[in-house]
Amino acid sequence: MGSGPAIATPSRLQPVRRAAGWLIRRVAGSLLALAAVTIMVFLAFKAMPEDPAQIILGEMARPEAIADLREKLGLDRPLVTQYLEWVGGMLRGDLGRSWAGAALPVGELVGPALVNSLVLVALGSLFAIPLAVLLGVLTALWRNSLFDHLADYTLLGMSSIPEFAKGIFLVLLLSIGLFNLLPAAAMIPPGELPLWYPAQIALPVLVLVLSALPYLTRLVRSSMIDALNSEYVQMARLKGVSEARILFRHALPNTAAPVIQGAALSTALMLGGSVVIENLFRYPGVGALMTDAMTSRDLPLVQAVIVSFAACYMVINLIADVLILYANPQYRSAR
Amino acid sequence: MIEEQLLATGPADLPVPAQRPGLLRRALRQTRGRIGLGVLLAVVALSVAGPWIAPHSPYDFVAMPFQPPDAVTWLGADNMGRDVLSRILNGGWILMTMALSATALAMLAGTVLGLVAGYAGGRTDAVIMRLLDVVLAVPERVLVLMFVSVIGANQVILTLATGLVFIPSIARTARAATMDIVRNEYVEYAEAIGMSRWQLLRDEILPNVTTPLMVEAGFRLTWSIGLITGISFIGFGTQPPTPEWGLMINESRDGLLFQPWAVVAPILCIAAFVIGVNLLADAIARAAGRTE
Repeated sequence: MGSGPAIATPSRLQPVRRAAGWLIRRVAGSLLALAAVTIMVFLAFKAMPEDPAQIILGEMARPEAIADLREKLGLDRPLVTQYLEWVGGMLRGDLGRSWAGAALPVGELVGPALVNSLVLVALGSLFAIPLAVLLGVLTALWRNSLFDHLADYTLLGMSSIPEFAKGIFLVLLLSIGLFNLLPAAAMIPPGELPLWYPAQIALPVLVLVLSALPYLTRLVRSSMIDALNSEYVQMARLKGVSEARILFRHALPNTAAPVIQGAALSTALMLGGSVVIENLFRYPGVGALMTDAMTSRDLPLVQAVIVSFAACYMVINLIADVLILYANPQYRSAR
Repeated sequence: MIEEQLLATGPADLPVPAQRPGLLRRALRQTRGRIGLGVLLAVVALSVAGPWIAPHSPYDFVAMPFQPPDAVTWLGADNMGRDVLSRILNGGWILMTMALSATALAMLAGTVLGLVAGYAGGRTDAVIMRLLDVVLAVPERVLVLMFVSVIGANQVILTLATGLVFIPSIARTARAATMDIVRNEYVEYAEAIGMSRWQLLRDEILPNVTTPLMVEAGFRLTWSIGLITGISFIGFGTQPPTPEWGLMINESRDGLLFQPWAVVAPILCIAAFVIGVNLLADAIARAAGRTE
C-alpha cells in the first residue's frame, strides 16, 4: 500500500504494453534455456565412452558392421551437423528411432507416456493445492493452537519420508497389508487415458499429494499470516468489516501470487518425483519410460525424454508467471 | 559525511554487522532442534558403530530368503537370505557419506559461484547465473539420471551428480546474501582502504552470508538423502550387493507381504535420519528468522 504511481502515466495502454513486452522477453528467455538444455544433453551423450553402434549391435558385432552402422547413423559427421540434424528433427516432430526392439519412432513412445505423466501430475496438483490452501488458512487463523502444532509436526514428518517410502507404506496399508482396497501396481491398458482408471491411479496420485502438501501448506500459512498482519487488514478491522469478509476479500486474494508461484514449483517437483513413483507403481509414464530406456541403453529415447521434461518445466513456469501477472497487476513491473 | 566519520573513528569502532554467532545454540534452544539433534546423533552413532556390533556379515546367507524374524535374524532375512539387521547396521555410513559429500560439494561450489557472481555483478554475474539456469531447467532427478546413463550407475557418480544439481539453488542463496552485504558501507570502507577483492570476499563477505547458507545446507542435506535413496531404489545408484538402505528396499520389495521387516526397517532408518536432519534444519531456519 502507499505505492502510488511513481511516475505520471501518460497512457492507459502502457501497463498492457509493458506486460506484453515482459511476456515476450520471458518466453524468449525460456526458449533460450531450452536450447541450452538440448546442447547440454547432446554434448553429454557425445561424451559417453561407449560407441553407440556397439551398443545397438552388441558385443559380438563384426567391425565392418559397426563401421557401416556408424555411417548410417551419421556418427562420422561433424558434431555441429549432428546437433543441428537432431534439433531440426525435433522441431519437425521427428524424434528419431528407438535403438531397442522394433525400432519404433521415439515420438510414438514418448507422446502417450507424457500424456499419462501429465495426467498424474495434474491430478496431484488438483487435489494438493486446494487441500494446502484449506490447511494453510486454518493453521494461520488458529495460529499456535493445538491444531496448528499438530499439523506442523505431521507435515514435517511427512516431508521427512522419501516419496518411494511413502508409496510403500501406502501399499502396505491400503493394498496388501491391512486393507485390500487399491491395486499396488497401476495396470493401465496401453493407449487408454489413465483418467478412466481411478482405482489404478489412486495410490500414485495420493503419494504425489502427500509429498507436495507439507511445502505448500507452510507456504499458504506464512503468506496468510503476513496478509492478516498487514496494515490493510488492520484498517478493515478498524472499519468494522466482518472477519469472513476480511478473510475472503482482503487477506486471501493477497496470498495469490506467492501461492501460485509455490504451486508451480510443487507441480514441477511432482514431475521430477514421478520418475521414482512411476517406477514404484509400474505406471506407464515418461519417468518409467526413461528408466526402461536407460536399462536397455536406448539413448535417443533417453535424450528425448530429458528434453520433454525440460519443455514441460518451461511450460509450467510460464503458465504460473502468466497467472501471477493476471492475479496481481503490481507484478507486471516487478520482474 | 559518512567517509569522514569512518576515517575519524577507524575500523575498530565500525558498527559490526549482525554476525549472529550462536546460530546453532539458538537453534538448540528450541524443542524441535534438540529432538532433531538427538535423533540425528542416535542414527549416526548406530551407523558408525554398526559394522562392529552387527551379529552377521552383511553379505552372508544365514537364513532362508524372506525368513521372518527369529532368534538368529532379529529383523528376519532379505530376498537372498541375508540378515536384515546386519545389513542395516553396515549400510548406514554409506548413505551418510554419500549425502554429506554431495551436500558439502554443492555448498563449496555453490558458495564460491554465488559469492563471485554477487560481488562481481555485471557480465560475470550474468554468465554464471545463466549457466546455472540451464541446470535448473531440468528436474533434479532427471538430470542425475542423465549423468548416470552417460557415465554409469555407481555410488560415486550418484554422489557427484547429486552435488551438481544442488549447486544452482545454493549459488542463488549465496548471491542474494552477498548482494545485500556488498551495498553495506563497511564493504565500501574495506574497498577504500585497499583490501584485495579476494581478501574482501573471504574476510568480510563470507562470514556474513553463513546464516542463510547454514539454513540452505540443512535443507539440501535433507533433500540429498531423499534423492540418493530414491535413485538407488530404482536401481541406478549403489549397486548390489552393497547394503545401502534405498537399494535394500528395492531388493526385498517382492517379499513385502511375507517379510515386511526387510522393507520397513530400512525405510524407518531413512525416515529417522531425515527427520533428525529436517528438525535441526527447521530449528536453524527459525533461529535465523526465516520463518515467523
